[in-house]
Amino acid sequence: MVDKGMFDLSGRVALVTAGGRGLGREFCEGVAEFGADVACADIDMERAQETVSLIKRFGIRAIAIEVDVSKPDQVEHMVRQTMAEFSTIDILFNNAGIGNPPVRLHEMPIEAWDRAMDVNLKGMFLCLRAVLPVMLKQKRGSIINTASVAGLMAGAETRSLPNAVPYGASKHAVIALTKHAARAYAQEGIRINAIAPGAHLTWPLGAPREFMEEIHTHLAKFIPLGRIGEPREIKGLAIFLASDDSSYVTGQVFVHDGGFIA
Amino acid sequence: MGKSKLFDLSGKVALVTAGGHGLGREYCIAVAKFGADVACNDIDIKLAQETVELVKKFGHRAIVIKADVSKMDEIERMVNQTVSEFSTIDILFCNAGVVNPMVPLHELSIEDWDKVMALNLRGTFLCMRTVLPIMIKQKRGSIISTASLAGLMCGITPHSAPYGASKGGVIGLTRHAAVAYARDGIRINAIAPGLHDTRPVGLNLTLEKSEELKRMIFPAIPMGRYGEPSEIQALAVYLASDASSYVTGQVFVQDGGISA
Repeated sequence: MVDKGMFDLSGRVALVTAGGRGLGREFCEGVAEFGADVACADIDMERAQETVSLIKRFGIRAIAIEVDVSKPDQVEHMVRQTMAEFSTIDILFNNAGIGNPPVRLHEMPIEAWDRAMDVNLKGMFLCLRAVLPVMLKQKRGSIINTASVAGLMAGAETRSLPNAVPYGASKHAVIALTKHAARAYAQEGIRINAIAPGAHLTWPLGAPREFMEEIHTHLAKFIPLGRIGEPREIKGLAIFLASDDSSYVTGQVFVHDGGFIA
Repeated sequence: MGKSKLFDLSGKVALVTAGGHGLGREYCIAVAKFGADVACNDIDIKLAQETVELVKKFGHRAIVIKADVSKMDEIERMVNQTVSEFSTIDILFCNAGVVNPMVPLHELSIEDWDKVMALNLRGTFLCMRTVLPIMIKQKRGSIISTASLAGLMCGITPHSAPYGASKGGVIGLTRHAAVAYARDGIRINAIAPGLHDTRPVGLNLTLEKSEELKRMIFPAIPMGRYGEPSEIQALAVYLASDASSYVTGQVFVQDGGISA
């Protein structure tokens, strides 16, 4: 017998940025499976549509929205569209993020630094800023930010992501943003937490597939569980944090990394 | 809503130390809700019996085991009894713990220090040590130790150095053991609760004293309240189940935002 109450998300509305691929798609799948309606936003409309068709099998409502989260007007438009369709937002996955070119810091194009910060950090701020008023009005909300183990440690060069300084700096900032925002909104019924994934079998936007394959093979050797994570393994954590059953949890970072930084 | 099997624990066996009250009781109820059989240990057999009555409502098997988990022979007996009843152990909550008397460190008796360490840290080690061979044999297991926010920071409870040190030790033990047994299919994580509305063993608070503590403590908690013990259930289910299959060596803080 499985308890029907715990983890239930029926009637809730989730907005997921970068829901068209990787872990974002799993977040959409996870909350949809437990009953939430989903607004799936992505910079790639075709992939967002794909996610929407996938999750409709759970009998929930879902829409695709095209967005570049680094653009304030597009973020506002995304939130307006979600509100028009579903009337509220109970759950926000701030998940959009990009890596940086694999070159050393002193050779890093300044534009690459700016782009990583604009999407990973400022984009998250913009989404928080646009969605928080909705949650404040209803005195309820759960926000889950996608950080990274790179936001907690740099790691020895040989056993970590090499040349990930801008990415790592942006994800460290995401964690600090999560903690400060969590405290600031704790009395208003809004919980804000971060998920810090280690290496998962995903193909991030803009990263060449061969490059990612090389990284996956290399990193697996240093992961205590001995393998890269399957993207779907993250669903349980997403559901836990999205649901009311994590009601006393806020301002925390949940590492999902096969023991990599244990 | 789909009838998801994601958090299902049907057919699994959970051993919970100090399952007779507080968070331990919640762990027992939580895993039973999702289908697990439960061996509920406590030093107080009456409290354990109460938990078992609550757990049996979910239609699974549950037994009571009296044991002081700071004592190796009693732990062995507890584990043997669990295995003879249920054939195996899939989930272990190392949950037994005591707090120290709230006095300055230089006034603390050495016996009180030893007592805290013997149960909180050494007892956790002894329980892991006894259960791990069973999990190694079946190449599967999830161990959840109860650490504490006090193991990560001083925070807001005064005079908690021995308790804090023991819980810091539990966190170190958890992380190192997690790496050591990751290849055996065993995941080991810790839950670090902040302040929950439980009555910790050894504190013997009067109602008056606990109201005074609330007035002092609540303003320091971002959520402005203690956690209800039942609020820990979902985290326990998540960590006990395969829904956390890629998670090991981590500390899960549930504290209403104190440590944020």
